Amino acid sequence: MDDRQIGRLFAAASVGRISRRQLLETGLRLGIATPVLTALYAAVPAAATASVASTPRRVPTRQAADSGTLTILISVGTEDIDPHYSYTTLSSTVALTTYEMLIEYAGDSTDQFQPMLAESWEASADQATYTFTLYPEVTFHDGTVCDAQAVKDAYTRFLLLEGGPVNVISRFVSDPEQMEVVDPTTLRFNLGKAQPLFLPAMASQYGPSVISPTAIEENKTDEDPYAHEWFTANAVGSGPYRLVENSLNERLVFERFEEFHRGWEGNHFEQIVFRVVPENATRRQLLEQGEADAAAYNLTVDDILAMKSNPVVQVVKYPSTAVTWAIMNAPRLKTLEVRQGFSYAFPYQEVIDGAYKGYLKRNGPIADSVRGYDPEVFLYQTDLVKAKELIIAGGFAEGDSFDFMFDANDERDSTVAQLFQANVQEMGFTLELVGVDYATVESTIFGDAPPEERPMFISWGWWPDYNDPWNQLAPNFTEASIGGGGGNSGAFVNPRFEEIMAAAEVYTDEAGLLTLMKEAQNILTEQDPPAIYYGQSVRYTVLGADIEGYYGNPLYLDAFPVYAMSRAGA
Amino acid sequence: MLVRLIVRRLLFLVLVLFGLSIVTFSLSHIVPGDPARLMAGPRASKSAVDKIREKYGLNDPLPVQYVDYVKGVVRLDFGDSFTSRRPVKQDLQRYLPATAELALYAFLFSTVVGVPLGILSAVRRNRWPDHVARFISISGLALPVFWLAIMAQFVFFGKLGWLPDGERLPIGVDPPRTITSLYTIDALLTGNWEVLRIAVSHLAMPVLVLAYGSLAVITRMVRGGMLEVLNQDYIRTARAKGIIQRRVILGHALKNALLPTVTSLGLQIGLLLSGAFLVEIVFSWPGIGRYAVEAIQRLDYNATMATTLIIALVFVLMNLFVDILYLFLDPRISYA
Repeated sequence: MDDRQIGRLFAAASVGRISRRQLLETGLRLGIATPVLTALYAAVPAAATASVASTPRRVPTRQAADSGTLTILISVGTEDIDPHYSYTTLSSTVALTTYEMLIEYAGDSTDQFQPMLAESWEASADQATYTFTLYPEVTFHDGTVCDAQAVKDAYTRFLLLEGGPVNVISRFVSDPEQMEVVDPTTLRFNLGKAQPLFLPAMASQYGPSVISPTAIEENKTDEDPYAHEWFTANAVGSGPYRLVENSLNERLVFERFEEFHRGWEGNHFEQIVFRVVPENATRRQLLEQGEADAAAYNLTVDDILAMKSNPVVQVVKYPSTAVTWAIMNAPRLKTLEVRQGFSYAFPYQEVIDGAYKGYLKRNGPIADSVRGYDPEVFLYQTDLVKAKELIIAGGFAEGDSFDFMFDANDERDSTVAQLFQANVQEMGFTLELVGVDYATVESTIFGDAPPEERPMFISWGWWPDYNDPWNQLAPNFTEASIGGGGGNSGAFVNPRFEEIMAAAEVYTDEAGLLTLMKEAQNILTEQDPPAIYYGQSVRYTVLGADIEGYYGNPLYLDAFPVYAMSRAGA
Repeated sequence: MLVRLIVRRLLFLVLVLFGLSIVTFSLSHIVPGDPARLMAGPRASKSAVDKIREKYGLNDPLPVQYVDYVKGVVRLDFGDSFTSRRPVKQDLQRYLPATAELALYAFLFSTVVGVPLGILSAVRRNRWPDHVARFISISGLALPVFWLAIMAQFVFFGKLGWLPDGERLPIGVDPPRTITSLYTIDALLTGNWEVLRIAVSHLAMPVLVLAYGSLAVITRMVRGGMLEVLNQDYIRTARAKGIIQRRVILGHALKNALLPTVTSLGLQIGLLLSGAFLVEIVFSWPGIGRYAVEAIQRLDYNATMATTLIIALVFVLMNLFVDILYLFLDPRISYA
């Protein structure tokens, strides 16, 4: 940026908006950041239209330090990169860099697959048996052979380790003996019954990575028979890049694995670096200075809007499967009417416009990119009069107080909390905001505390491990998911919903599933809402203008198809 | 007398650390959240969480956990970090030198620049050098270090491109052979000039930002002390005797004017260490401040308590050092 542009920034910042909502939003922003800084960063001219295409503009002025290195900025390190145990977005992003599954979702598709370790696959007519034919002569980064037996051994570990994503395999395979090694390049899964979702699950970014059985064997101990401790910081897969450095708070560095079975024809990066940069403003500067090449969904929306007009970067947005919501604590909110009342009290449009700046699409509990989505799902509209009536009819009185927990470090969450608070106050109630670290939010939701000790509302969200509505809803709203690691923090129980989920888990008929899901979505919205659904997030990734080959997949959120990516002209 | 002072202060140090350990331990455990659940991750089975609780002793009653912790600390064993899964001691060995290097240069810079600036400001009172010094000291005290760090980065990295954005060394540059773990010193000792140049360029901005607040305090303290001393009779007498101005200032006035400044230098260490928490975040500096912030965010009790104790230890030891220095600077002072 030149001086004239900076002048424009200050001039733009001086333009005020005066509606009540906008005044509040502006105030919030001013409260979050230092005013001058906000002026500099939030008020960058945003005249250009959004760049949504994946074709980059070439800008020679961008100073790439090393054209063979793809530098991806992350905001925190990850303490556990074991793909069979960790259930975080970052660890799965790392997994897709260094490990392979049998198959993966093709490009930006959510229902088409393409080869990874398996060059072909076949389902039996009854969908109870799946046979994968593996590429021959594939090796792991430690030089050992990756054949059908290795895949079976790796998946046996995945199943028995019982980590966070275990349901991705345990839903279909309960006994390792269901995996049959037919020959070194053929692996058969005998599932015992029709399982139409097995392929989507095997392409999940959570879990089904194939890790080297030799590395497991070499690093296991008596107390840790699956070498989990070792794999928290190390990785031995068969993917395109091998891990060469992992310093938790600084960086993860991957180098090209020369023996990668898909070869290195064409333009690819030599090295992939995930650099930990905690400060949002620094991440933005690094991208704009060309010192870094990519960042996924970890810049503020204001930054994204500003950067859209900057020719040295491209902002790629893509639909996601993620839905954000506020969990409602059913026992503490007493009655159905109260939950319906608060659903009417939520400022949906203001949240979309003010907190997400359009990067949110109004929806129910299932995103429109997921199987089973009901396009006619019931959506509450903000109506404070109706909301107040319902809340009072449900057993509360004017002046009563409620509490709302949210991640205070998330700018969007903070804004949502305060917009919601404004509406609740306007009805004559009090909403106490409990801003905490993400860690506290997560451990509150998945912890074992009884509902009485949990907040009345917790800002949260979810996306499925693979394209399946049961996988989206069951971990969050079924009775089995109350406590003990489940996400049903609001202790919601609805008998009919339980029946539907039980049927959906073992469904074989696509039309039947759609009928079940239509009813399930109506229960979770109009009839008996366990959450207030803000909407389905629109994901964004910022790339250097010279980065090519990127595509966003709604199911691989915040991931990078690093093997497909390259630098223009490199 | 000196030995008695040291012994007494060291005993006091033990009490301080003991009290601090109780406060930190209590606060860490009051904060809502379950570190075992966090380590296991979302949807992990109850048995997986229980295993972690067992491994880290989180099932024991709090008094038992505390006693175990203190027993460990006595043996310089701070337990294992819940996040890095390494012994905290190992983590400290890794991150402490980065902060030490930052704080050392910031301390040196603020002292070496602050003292002469304070003298100049007092001697040239109400003239432009004084105005400059007062601007520096007021702005240094008024500007939050976090804001200053971001603005410095925006200007010197983002706009001018003179200095790197942060980190100790860029990716692809190997640190020098470890002798002190301070990259600049190690590069100097091993004659690795290229790494020295790079390390200095990476240090420059975080050091200047971190030093700015301390520089302001020191400048103000020296100025105030000098103004007070310069009005005293013995200075007038010295001048009347025809002693040259430089000797009056440096030989007679400065020594007495520095006494309160020396006291504040000990306190500056605390300021620098707490400032380092924020500076390290902005400049992606892999130091103990950033380690502590991430430990707090991830409910990593052991790492949080260890960093708190270490910082307290440094703070108390530095103040002990200042007290000893005081004895030499002012023979009238007695701690008896």
